[in-house]
Amino acid sequence: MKASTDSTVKTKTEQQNSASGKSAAAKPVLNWKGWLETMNDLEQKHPRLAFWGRTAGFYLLMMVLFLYFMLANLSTAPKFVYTQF
Amino acid sequence: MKNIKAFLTALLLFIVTVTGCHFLISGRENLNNPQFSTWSEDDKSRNRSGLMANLNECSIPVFGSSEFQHGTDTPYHPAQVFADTSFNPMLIGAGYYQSLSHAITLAAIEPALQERKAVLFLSPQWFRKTGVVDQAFSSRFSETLYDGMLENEKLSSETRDYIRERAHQLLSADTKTRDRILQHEEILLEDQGSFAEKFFDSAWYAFLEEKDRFSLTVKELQSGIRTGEGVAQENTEPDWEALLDQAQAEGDRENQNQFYMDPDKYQKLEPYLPQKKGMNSDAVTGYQNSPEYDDLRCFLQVCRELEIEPMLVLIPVNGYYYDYTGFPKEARQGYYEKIRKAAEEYHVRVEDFADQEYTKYFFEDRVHLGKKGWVMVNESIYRFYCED
Repeated sequence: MKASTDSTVKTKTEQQNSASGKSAAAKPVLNWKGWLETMNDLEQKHPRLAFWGRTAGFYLLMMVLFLYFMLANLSTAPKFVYTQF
Repeated sequence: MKNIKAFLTALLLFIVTVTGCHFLISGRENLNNPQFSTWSEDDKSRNRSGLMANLNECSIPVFGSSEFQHGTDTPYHPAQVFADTSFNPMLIGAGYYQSLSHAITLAAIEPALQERKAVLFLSPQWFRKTGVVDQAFSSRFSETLYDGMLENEKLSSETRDYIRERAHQLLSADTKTRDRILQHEEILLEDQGSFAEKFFDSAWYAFLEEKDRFSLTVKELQSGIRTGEGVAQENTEPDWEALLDQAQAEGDRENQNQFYMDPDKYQKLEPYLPQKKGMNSDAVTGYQNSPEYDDLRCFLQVCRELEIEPMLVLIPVNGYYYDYTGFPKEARQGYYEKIRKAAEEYHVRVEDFADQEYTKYFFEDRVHLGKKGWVMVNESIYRFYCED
């Protein structure tokens, strides 16, 4: 039997690791590069959607800041806990 | 470029949203609901626009402190007792709101007062040697109410200066706020300050007023206080005798401990009783020397200058408990006498409950009004309201 010289053929160990999900280098949890590429695709294929998505993001940020300033206790007074005396 | 466009669009939408919120909230400020008046929420007591918007011809401000947050789930609390009447007591205060805070509030909301009367519940504990402590005052301080007081032109400069001095002194615990109000006073009273300082000062107070309205609206919605139909058209006077009988019967059933307190309050106190026995026996001048007396005179002076008829409600101590701790009776009587004298100086009515020290079930705990205490005090403020 002729021995295989194909470099793409995985060794038995590599096959086992691949099946169990392990690999020599750990995969990143968030694939930022992939996400950016997706957004760029969206920009090109659906420019209006991308625009409104950005707008929504800015709007949400502004509303979060607004609600924080309206509802948070901004007092600089020391915390004084009423205790029964 | 795309980001700038998106940002500007978002900004436009944000401005529309905020403007819409502003008009919506401004429109519902006057709730026309007596529940707001008897709502014992701390933030309400610091909210100038909310208080002013909800005062009507049937309202009188009732200033007090922590007693308003006690007994709210009993039939004796003002929220329940006056629910079917046309009387609308505006409860203002929470723990550590004392005479000075109330003088500021009264001066700030006075322009909205149609019924020219006010009630002040006096707790003996206000008259400790320190009076109101700086940390407590700072934590209860409202810049919008203080601004309202400064803007009330009916106040004499002497009275305003007294309030300012005391506020500056007590805000030593919150120097940022103190520095801000000092600058605000310079701008408002002396017309000093650069254009930028005046601009930022105006913007700051506009922001505070908007924040007051917004946060109070959210609290109202959380508490289930909605727009109502106004006070009851027919005034049904509460049956005071029946309420007293009910309080007596409940007390006989539940409050059977050495201090006649509510059972849950006594249970919490019981483990600490051995260390409290006789601990106040050296308080021979207890409650008789305090800067609170000057603050009280300031409150009465504010009433005089604003032509408001005040009534002081002299709440006693829990005689059973105070005897246990050894607090001298002479010291207690000395305190009551000083309050009566201060009231005489200003020809002010006092609803004197000093003889109720040993009335069972008058208190729910060491210091707060309980079943009978609430019935008797409520009757006194109702009679005061009904008098011409």
